[in-house]
Amino acid sequence: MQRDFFSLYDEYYPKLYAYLLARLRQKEAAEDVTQQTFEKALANLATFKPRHGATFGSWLFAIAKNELVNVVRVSQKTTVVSNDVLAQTLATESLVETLLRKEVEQEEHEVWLSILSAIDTLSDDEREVITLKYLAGMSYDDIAALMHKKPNTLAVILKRALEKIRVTINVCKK
Amino acid sequence: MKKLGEHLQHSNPSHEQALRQKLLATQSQAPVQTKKLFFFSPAFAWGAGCCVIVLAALVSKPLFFKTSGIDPEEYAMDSYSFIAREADMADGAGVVMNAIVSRMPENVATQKDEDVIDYEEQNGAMLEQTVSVRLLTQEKDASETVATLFASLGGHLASIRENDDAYATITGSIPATRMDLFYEGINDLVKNENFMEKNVQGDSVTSEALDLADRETALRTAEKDAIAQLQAAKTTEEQAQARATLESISNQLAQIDEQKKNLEDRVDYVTVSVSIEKLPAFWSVQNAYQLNEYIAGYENPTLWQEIEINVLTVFFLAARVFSVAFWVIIPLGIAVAVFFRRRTFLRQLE
Repeated sequence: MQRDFFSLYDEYYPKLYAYLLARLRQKEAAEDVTQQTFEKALANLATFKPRHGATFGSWLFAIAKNELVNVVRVSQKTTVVSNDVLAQTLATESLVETLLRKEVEQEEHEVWLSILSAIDTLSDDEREVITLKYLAGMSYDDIAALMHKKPNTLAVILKRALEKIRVTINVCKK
Repeated sequence: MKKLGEHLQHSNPSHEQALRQKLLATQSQAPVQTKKLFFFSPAFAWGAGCCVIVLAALVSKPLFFKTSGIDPEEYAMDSYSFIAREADMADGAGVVMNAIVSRMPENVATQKDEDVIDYEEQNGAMLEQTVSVRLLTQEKDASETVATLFASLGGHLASIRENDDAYATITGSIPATRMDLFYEGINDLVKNENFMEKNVQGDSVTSEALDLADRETALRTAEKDAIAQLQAAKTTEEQAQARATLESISNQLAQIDEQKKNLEDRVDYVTVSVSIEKLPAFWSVQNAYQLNEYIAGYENPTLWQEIEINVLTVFFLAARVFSVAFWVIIPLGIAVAVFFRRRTFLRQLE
């Protein structure tokens, strides 16, 4: 199946941006890495060939992960910061949207923050799977190809992570 | 959590559009192959391979009850030989004969002596016939009835052999003019049994007969010369020599007479070999060929025999279909099962 690059861009930009934003917790850094990722993908398009289960999405996210590592290595300032920064970002944006929308979803905003806090308590694999599956909206096949794990293994990791998040949120509520 | 993800995904539309415009400036129009073309996938190769195997099996395998033909080219070219298996449904006699009639290849005739050809055209071929009959039955006394038939038709029994595989193998000779009676006798005497095969082989002995005739003619001429020589002999030695020549010629003529008589016997009598074999029982049918024999063995089956025949037919047909579809059904079933099992398991966790 052959698709135009920009139709793939339209499909994967939101996912990639959400993933990087959740990982970097900074809007500008996420924008930079997203741009670098797509520029590299466009430059190396000729080398991409789907084989051994690899898809365009897993290839793109693999480039993004490498860029992420480079960014973290280059600037210590871009390591994972507290959720307050992200909360501030979200609060700023959601505030803007709130001005445009009729209802206010403050409770939902608080839930999101607690979820993000719970995600930070997970192991690396669990955090990666949760971020890719629910925040980036990737499919099991793409995640499996990206993390080099079987879909059944991912399902087990995901189930464990969801349970931990649920426990953490319940503890926080208490 | 999905809602959080959706919010994050669409939280920066301005940057999305700006980046898109930037990339368009350095765009590659080359389409991206996102999925491996199906035609190069292992699944397609497997499916294509299975289809080829299935088609080859269907084409190469004969029809369920088809009998194979005989290539006339296999047989000797220096004698007038033919193989004839005749199909004959005798009314009410319960006799079935599978048959294929093959014709003599035309080029054989050109290899025969012209004298032989002329003789046969005028008088018909002199054939030494050999008939072998294969009879399937469950009656153990069938050999006695066949042996009695030989005697009643003026034939001679050469041997009766009994063994474990076949009830008996009876060999003898029957006058060629009574072979039709022999077949009818088999029909009348042996009820509910069937001939599965009758093979008739005829070897032309015309050239042998003509050769004998030519030799006899030459000897007769030599005899006349010898008699004339004896009559013209003047000395004792000449008379003795002429008598010796005459005696030699007489001996040779006697031999030729004996050979002619022997040849006539060979032509007048057909060598018949009857192999009486055990009709396979229901539980001993192991392949389609035995099933063919089993079915042919019951010209007028009873209701229970009819049921047995239908059960066996369905069983072997199903086995044949399964053996052909084996390479497709099982891999496909495994693939479908794995796919649905994985999909169901993953969906339960979403």
